[in-house]
Amino acid sequence: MYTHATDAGWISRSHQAIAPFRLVRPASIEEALEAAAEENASFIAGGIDLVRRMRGGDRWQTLVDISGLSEMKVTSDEGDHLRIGALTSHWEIETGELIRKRLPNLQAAWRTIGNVRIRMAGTLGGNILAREAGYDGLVLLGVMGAELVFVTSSGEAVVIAGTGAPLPDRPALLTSVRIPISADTGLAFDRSLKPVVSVAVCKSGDTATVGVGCAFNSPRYSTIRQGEDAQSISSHFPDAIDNPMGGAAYRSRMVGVLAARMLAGGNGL
Amino acid sequence: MSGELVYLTCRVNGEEVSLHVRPEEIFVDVLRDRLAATGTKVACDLGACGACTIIVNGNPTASCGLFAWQAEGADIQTIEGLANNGNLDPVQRAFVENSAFQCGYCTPGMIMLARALIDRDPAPSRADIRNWMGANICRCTGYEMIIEAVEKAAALQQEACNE
Ligand SMILES: Cc1cc2nc3c(=O)[nH]c(=O)nc-3n(C[C@H](O)[C@H](O)[C@H](O)COP(=O)(O)OP(=O)(O)OC[C@H]3O[C@@H](n4cnc5c(N)ncnc54)[C@H](O)[C@@H]3O)c2cc1C
Ligand code: FES
Ligand code: FES
Repeated sequence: MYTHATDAGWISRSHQAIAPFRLVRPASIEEALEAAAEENASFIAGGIDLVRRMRGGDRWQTLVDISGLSEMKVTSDEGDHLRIGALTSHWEIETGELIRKRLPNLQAAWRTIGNVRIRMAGTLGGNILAREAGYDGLVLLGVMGAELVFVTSSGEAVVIAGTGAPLPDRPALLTSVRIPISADTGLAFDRSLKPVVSVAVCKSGDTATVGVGCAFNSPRYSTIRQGEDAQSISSHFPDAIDNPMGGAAYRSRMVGVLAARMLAGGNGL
Repeated sequence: MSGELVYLTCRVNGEEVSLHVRPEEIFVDVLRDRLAATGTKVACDLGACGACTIIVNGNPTASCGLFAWQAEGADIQTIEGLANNGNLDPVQRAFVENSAFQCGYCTPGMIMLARALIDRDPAPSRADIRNWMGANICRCTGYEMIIEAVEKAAALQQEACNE
């Protein structure tokens, strides 16, 4: 048995940097919403993003640990859609049998996220609700027209990813994501230029939806028709972020280059 | 404002651990400061480099990005738990025999990452090893010796099983 002291004198660097908070561990979605309605409260799922941000100075009075809400871990086949619970880890998306059968291209694209440690700890919901322009989840889900299913204190709220509709304000709990199965038939993703830009393309009939990550404050989307010069998709978007990581003009040009490359017969399309 | 202490019970290297932790306490600090298990190192403190990798319920995990209470009920392995009665684990032996470290700061994390891979897949391909080990950063070796050490560790373990 290890011995311990609750008032251990030496406090490490990481411990010092995180502001104290109250921990709530709800047993149901209702309890989670109730706890999150308190002032300055945040949900925590895998926690890998939240811990990093709190170390960077973010302060929360209350953290609501949703990791025990098992109903948010389920993947189910709904015929024309696959519903993936928001607490599903990247690793479970990458290895899930149902996802392999029904959304194989999405699964292949998801496998490229982060690294094995991140994929095992990070969740689908955390990836989306971290609201980071460089994260891949929303770029992919946006081109596929996925439905983001939230529960709020006033009921269910569905946001169609890729339409530019804003995500609901806190406290809104993302419980699952419904992905149209047909969208997976022509899906490709190129993140080789991250953190400059990432591009996802989803092709349906003679129209392709192009999603762009990293280049704007949040992912942006546009469509292009067969026969159009794919590189011209660059002009569909506003000015990209210009910073030492990548110039606006370069980012913008690479959107067209990567989209054209994928549409010319790349992986998955 | 600080929240109430949280009671944590878990298993670390096979031993039951029960202690009160502050909600904001990070698991690597519990290991290093309260359990004196200082083999686990901290470098970036951001979940990026993997120096602090431990195995939580079979998964390689950055212990710098884990609140202590998140380990409730978990089965945890750290570098201290690998050697058995003074006999090095095959992964440790392979790292020594392949000189797969220089300064050694990343090594406990690399070894735990490799251990988690071989626990899942006793005969990983070189491509699988490269992909998996890509999670952690080494600033000294250039990685080639590490990849070879993991291949060797799998072979050593296989040999031991066949004996
Ligand atoms: C080193 C490193 C590399 C990474 N590489 C990549 C990469 O290549 N591509 C990529 O896309 N991502 C990458 N990530 C990000 C990673 O995918 C996310 O950090 C992870 O998915 C977050 O999941 P989580 O469960 O840990 O989120 P948490 O940290 O628990 O939460 C993040 C945010 O989401 C909110 N939240 C979580 N779940 C819900 C929910 N169900 N409803 C409402 N709000 C919720 C929380 O309140 C918080 O604000 C990387 C992260 C790290 C640390
Ligand atoms: S110290 Fe934990 S990942 Fe770098
Ligand atoms: S041996 Fe020095 S960082 Fe890896």
